[in-house]
Amino acid sequence: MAALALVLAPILPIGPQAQATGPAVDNVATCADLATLGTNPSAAGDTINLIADLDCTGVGFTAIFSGGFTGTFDGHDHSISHLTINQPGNYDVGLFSNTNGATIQNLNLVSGSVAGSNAAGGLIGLAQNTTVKHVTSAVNVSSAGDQVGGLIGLVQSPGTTLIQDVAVTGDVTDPGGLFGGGYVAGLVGLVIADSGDAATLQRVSYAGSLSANSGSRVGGLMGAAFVTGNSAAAAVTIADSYNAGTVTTSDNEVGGILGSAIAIGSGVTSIIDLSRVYNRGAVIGTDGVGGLFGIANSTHSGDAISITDSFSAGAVTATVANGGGLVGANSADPPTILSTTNDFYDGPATGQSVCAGLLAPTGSCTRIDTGSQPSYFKANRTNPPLNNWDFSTIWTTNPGTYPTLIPVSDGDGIALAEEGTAPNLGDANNDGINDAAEANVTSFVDAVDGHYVAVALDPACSNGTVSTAPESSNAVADAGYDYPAGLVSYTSNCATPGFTATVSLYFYGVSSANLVVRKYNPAIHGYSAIPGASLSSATIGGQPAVKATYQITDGGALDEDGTANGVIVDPVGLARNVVGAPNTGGRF
Amino acid sequence: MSLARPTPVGAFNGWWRYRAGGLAMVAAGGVVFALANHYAVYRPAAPAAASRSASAAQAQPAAPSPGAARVGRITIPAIGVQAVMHPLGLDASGQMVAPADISTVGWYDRSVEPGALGLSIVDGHVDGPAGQPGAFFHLAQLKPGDGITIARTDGVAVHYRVMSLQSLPVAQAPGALFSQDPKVARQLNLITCGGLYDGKTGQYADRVIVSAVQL
Repeated sequence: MAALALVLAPILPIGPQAQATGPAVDNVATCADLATLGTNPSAAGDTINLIADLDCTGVGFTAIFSGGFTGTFDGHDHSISHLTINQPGNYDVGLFSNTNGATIQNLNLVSGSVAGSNAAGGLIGLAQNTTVKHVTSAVNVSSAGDQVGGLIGLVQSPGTTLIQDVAVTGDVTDPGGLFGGGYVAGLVGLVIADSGDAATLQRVSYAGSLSANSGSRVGGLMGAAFVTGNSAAAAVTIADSYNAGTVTTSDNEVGGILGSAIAIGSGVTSIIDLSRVYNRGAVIGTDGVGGLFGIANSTHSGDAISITDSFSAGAVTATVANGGGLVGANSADPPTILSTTNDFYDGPATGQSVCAGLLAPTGSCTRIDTGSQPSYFKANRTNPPLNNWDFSTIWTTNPGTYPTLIPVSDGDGIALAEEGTAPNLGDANNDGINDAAEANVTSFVDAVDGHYVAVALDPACSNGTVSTAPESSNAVADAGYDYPAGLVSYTSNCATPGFTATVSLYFYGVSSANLVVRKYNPAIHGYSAIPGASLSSATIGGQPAVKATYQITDGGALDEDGTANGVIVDPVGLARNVVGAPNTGGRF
Repeated sequence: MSLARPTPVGAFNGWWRYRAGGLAMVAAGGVVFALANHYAVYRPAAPAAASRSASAAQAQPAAPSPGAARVGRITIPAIGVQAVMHPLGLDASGQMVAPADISTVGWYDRSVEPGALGLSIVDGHVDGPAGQPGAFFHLAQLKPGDGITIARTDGVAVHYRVMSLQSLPVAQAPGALFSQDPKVARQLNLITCGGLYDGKTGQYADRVIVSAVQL
């Protein structure tokens, strides 16, 4: 239990003294408190909640819990900024020095730097049996040693480690030392999985700049995977993930996703599998340089190294030998069993004419000439292998470029699954991006008529709550109009007070005949037409829709809260006139 | 301009004053516009019985909604209106009913009661079957700032001040008639006919809508 007196938030009225059983709870509100808490071994098993964004400017911070953190750290979507950890002579350096049986989640490391020796990572130096979920990191990591990752330096046996919904954008630098540096990656430097272990990277991405001056086994997501099960199967899996960062080293075994895939189990199956991954970052090394794998090496026939439904589209440069569009080299001694299924590489973009620089894999690995098919992998959901990807809840297309991952939450309160199944394959406003990936676009099922509605504001805005309700739920009914799809209520944070936002509403399943756009103001029980609103009919994704567009100014007449506070509140709906004006001339 | 009109006939309460002339109005926004007035087409008065029968279908008042009958009289001193109000609803075609008696006005019973939060709507005739002036014959002459009072049957007097006046083609009238200024908590909209009279259809081309804010 933590001995520190920490700030308890009103919204989380819990603390060590409140816990009759189970781990103690520490609610942390300042960076200094976190730094101090992290030096207390008795807090290593606690549940730690961030209850505020932490600014670590001026805080002398060393990697916390050097004895191993075994508890739960929940950032509650708060951020840590200006984190500076400078321990270049130490092993196991990160925000957390090492973890074992821990869960770290809902955290945003927005700025800072971590410098360590072996096993250095932005979040964790050494992780065992650890779960990391819903984390972003822009922290820059540097080390002259081995096992360096933008997120985790080393994932070590035993146990199961899951890294899920993580995006890293910080730079990773390993200038090498006397003995050079190796096992360097955008996310995890090295994974060692022994008998019964499993390490999974799922829905992760890297988009920084990675440079390992003289280190081998370098990858966009993982430097190397050693799967060494002897008494039970072990596996390392990377699924639904991508690298967009540059990967550069002056050494060998370099891949856009994984530098070295080494399955060396004995008598049991050791698995290394990549599924639905892609690389679009430049990959530069000496020997064994591939779009996805640098090298693949297995020593027993029962081991399995596989790549499924994946593609490579970043430039691949092997300055010495063995460059390949997908794989740099398959080890020849003994022959490696690398299977590729429904995999592709972009010939012009990778600059490669072969799938593997040394020994072709078994299975399907196809070169795509994007000179003649420039959009094969871009803004596309139907070309193989993209036709096997989940573009409802995991991936989103983007206009003119490659797919990206849908974030865990875009903050609008609508579940990914609901936005993902909106018309037009989850892109109800037809802007080329899944609504689930856009904070300013929300699509949801209209509770009034059962059809989808999409609310799209300026990209500068982030939608908050959205809902629909029937006219009858208002204090008074509109005296002359009906609302066949009810009224849409939304709030949107546009950051700048007084901001004027363009609002587009898409109503599916509504006949466009005789409609106007009207709003309801509950404060005055009043309905009114929206000046300047326009209506148009469109067919989106094969479905008819009515699009209403107008402008609303924060604090203006249409903003229900009436205050220029950066938040727009606007109940609005498609209205159909059902009452004609009276005939008040009596002559016939 | 004005054309000669027949002497008003029918049951008038003595408050009506004949006001001929063009109707130049200033709307709330300061825009001056001229209303095509209903004198533009002169048509001799038809026999009262015939015109009444023609208007009967649309003039049937809807049954007042429960608790909605507290409207009593409307007074608009600037144009000499002092008329009894009746709750009115919709006819079979979904059109607001106009008063059967052109000297009275109708409170639309799907709008809020005068004095309540929201929008109250009152309609009245500009003229009658023989061309005789109706209760809102001079509605188009109201100006921003003119006063309106509705005396409810419960003794409450609700006072309004005119904000604006619009003359719109009949098809566009509902948009204005059923709209409340977002900055106004309690609003009264009055409506009558205006514009050119089409003898073939028996309809005026426009509707005059006066919007007032409760004081």
